[in-house]
Amino acid sequence: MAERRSKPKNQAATTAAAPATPPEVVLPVLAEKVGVYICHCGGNISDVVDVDKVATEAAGLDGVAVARHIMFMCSDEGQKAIVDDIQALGLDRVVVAACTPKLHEATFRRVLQRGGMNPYLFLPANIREQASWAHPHSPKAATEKASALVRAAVAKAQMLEPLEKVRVAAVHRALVIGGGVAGLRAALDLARQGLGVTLVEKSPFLGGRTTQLHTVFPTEDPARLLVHRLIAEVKAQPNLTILTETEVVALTGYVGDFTVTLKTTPRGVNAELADRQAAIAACPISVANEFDDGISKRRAIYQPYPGSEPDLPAIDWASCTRCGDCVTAAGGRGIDLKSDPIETTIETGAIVVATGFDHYEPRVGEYGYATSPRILTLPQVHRMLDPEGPTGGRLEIDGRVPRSIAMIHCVGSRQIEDVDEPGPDGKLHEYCSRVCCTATLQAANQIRQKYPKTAVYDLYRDIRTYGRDQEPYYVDASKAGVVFMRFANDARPTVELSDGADFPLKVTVTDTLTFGTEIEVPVDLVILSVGVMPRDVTGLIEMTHAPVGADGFLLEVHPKLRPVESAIPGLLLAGTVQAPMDVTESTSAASAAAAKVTALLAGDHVEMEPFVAKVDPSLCDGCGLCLDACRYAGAIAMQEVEIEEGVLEKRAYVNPVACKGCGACVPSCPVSALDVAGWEIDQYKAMIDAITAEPLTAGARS
Amino acid sequence: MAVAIDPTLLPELQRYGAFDVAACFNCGNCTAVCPLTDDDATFPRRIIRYAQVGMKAELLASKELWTCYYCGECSETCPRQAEPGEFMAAARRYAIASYDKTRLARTMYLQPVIGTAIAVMLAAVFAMFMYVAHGPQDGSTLALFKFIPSELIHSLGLAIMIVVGLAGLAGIVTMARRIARSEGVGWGTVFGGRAALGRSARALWIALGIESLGQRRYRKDCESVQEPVAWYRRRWLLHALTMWGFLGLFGATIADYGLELLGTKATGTPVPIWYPVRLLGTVAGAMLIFGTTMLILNRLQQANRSVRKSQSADWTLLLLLWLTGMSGFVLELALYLPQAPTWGYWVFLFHVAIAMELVLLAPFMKLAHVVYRPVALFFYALKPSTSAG
Repeated sequence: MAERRSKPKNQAATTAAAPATPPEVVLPVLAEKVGVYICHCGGNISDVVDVDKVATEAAGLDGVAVARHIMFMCSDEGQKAIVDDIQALGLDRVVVAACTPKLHEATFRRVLQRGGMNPYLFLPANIREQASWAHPHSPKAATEKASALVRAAVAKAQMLEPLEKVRVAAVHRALVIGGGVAGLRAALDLARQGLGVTLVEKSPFLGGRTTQLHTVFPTEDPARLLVHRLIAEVKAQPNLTILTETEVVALTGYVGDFTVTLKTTPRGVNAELADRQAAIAACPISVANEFDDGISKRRAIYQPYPGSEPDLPAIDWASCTRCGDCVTAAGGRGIDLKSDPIETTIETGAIVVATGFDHYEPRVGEYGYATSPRILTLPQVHRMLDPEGPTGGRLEIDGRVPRSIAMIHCVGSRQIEDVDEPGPDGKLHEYCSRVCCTATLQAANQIRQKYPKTAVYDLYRDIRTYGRDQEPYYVDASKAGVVFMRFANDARPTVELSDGADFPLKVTVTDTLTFGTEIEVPVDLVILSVGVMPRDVTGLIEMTHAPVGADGFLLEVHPKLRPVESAIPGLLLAGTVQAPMDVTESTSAASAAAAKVTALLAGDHVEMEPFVAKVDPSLCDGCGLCLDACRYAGAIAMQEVEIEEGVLEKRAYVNPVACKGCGACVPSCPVSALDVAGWEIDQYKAMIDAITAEPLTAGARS
Repeated sequence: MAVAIDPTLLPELQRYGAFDVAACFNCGNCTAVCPLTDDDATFPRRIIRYAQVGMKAELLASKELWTCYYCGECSETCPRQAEPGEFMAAARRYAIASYDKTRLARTMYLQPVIGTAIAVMLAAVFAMFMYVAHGPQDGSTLALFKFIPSELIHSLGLAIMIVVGLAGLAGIVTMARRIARSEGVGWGTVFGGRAALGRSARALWIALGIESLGQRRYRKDCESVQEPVAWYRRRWLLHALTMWGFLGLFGATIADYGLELLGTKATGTPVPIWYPVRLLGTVAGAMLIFGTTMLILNRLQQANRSVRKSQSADWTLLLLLWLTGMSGFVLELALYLPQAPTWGYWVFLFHVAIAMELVLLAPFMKLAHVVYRPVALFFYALKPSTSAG
């Protein structure tokens, strides 16, 4: 594929622009000098597979110039053998039969480059995971299978064509979506690397959910102070633009050069507002305050907490009636009730998604939720325990400190079919939300410390304080007299209102720690440790085609090998958009995502693997069926091509930077004009022919 | 049936000394290492769990409280330093206080200052009472029962025994009913038919004879996990000597009174040292003094795990026993001195007052275990045969 410095849509594509030639039968030219290398993997392979036999058989194949077996192909010795053979024998293709290509495909491509070959003329054959490890007790069959895999690899290798990486001119700017702790961290790291950064936040205030906490475990740092330190650093960056009340409404382009349309809603309030208290007090509207998870009310003009960032109230246009009372109270200065949004367009090389999470909201009646003001969620209790929160840090119900509290774990997490009913979103949340155990214990300790006379019962299914320095929360809780009770996987505690009794609530649990005794716990307050839910980012998912996991969180390419990258090039994941995480993990992920973006946009170009669809214009008749098969915007288009003097016809054109090489278009083409470079149908046919060339014994077929 | 729990149980128990038990995470190491626990009596974990959760009724119906002799092995092994052994001791204190309806035991345990004051004042009242009624002090011989008339001592003693008997019986009934209900033991199980009676008699023999007087499991099982010490400092032996000494002295006193009632020998008649009742008293006194002295030493030196922590209740009991024994022994010496010392009369007054107080306070202090432990052991001995039958 040719290099593209600007958008291909503005430039005729190389493939499509090739002069049309009359169709003629062209037999594929097979490579003649394939080098085959069999790896022992220090015994991992050679203890089961007879590598000498495999090498001997490979040496006898047509087109194979040399076949060797070496203790470790990835070692210096193995690599040197390939380079030497390339230079001495003039190899034109290289097959290495060793471990999974996930480990060393890149290594051997570099070896070919060092030997002066095109790196895409290398082909791996996996005879470790697929032969020796899979059939450790059938050495003969494993050897046969290894030979078959090598035959197939040689057959395909003979048909490989040199490929070039797809290159895109890089825009040195990154867009960070989400102004919570992960987004802030990512934005700061990116800006410090010299990239231009646009940080967009949907709500009017920065800091996200972390600002709702008083302290964060395990350091017990004051949460808002921590976030505000981060914000101060972010604001000090010269190349960083912060846009609050801003959403992404359209997205086109690809890694290195996305075009993003942003919609910014006016704040309604500006710095000229002199008496914000008077303006807020004048507002006649009262709605549930989301910052306090609904346990307090706020006005339509509001500020979540003094000193918020920006330290300026905002107008909630959804509940504002434009009555103008606040404008009057403010003396006509500093408030503007015009709420028409403004759309702007930016170019960005990469996108960091840090849109965060939502708390699970229990169904009405789930553990008695919403049937009594004495049944609260942990986030609500966090707000009550916050000295700067709506209750001034007092955990009181009807003016009285609870004498006895039950905390129930795994509410909306680790749900089991037929045991739990789906949540309000109609889904079972089968995953563990991870942060709630430690958060619950942290709150339990705070309660025991603040109110030593309050009995705390901690009802769990399983309990994990998994992170560094988190175990002390459990130790402290048990030392502080928190009583742990454990319920079985298939039995949930029940919460009942017991009117007239000494304690207004009764929690019944079959406690496996008390020998399976059914116990009634009389309590004044029930705290539900609600889980972490994926936030609804449907719009973003539709725009980006980012893969979503079964749990509803955005999916990384590989949890260990590529943990913060979405399968969409240039789209990085930071924080709880990907999975439940605590603040520590969110910021780690954010820094990792920022580092990935920095590396991606470091040069003038972004390079991508060349395994993308290609069109044979001599076969394409312009029917357009492939357009429907393609799920990536702009990957395939129809272009007018001059097929003869003065005759223009439509032909499919693949934009190699937008194409992900998924191959969905290939079977859609009725005339087989489409193929994926490096994974062509003819190559597969040759592999199958090679495998079936010799009958396999039964053991080697599995 | 769901068990309703009492959130106040654990804090209440902690007032009796179970300070660290909240740290327990129910791993069960304590039960695993305990030489006494078996399928029919699982502790300390089970009992700790009752306490943590607030299962008050179950705790008070646990015979297991009294099957533990506090070797301390569980505390030694506990990965959380929750002191399960100390917890068991605290739970026994709580049980003694709970079985006692007069709440005197509770006061004695929870308000040591008031408890000590009560003990001192009670002794003083007895002494005053007898002093007021005292007769002449004979200068040539120690005519103790002319000084304080034996009738006065006997009738006061009887009155005290009746009060103590009633209080003790009330406690036993309270306890026995709770345990019986939780163990599923009814009247029929104990008395219904020859087989049941035989079983009960056997259980009674095991509880009183083999375990209480014979200290079998204390001697064998608990000793098996203890660090070896000189034979004369072994916990079971010191405890046994103290118990046997106390019972011997008690028996000698009763026998002496019995002899007077039979007209064989009037109280206070000088007898030679080999005279059986007198011999019993002397030997028992020596046992009691040795036992209590060593027990006090152990506590002072914190010689083993079980005496690392001492409550005022522990000291009160040991001190009362030791004073009773010592004053009796000094009195014995005074009787053999050629010239009767006047202080002998005052030692006598002191001895009688202390002994009376010891008996009177028995149901309201640590000494109450002499009745509660056999009751629990009776149910423990009864259980395997009932489940088999």
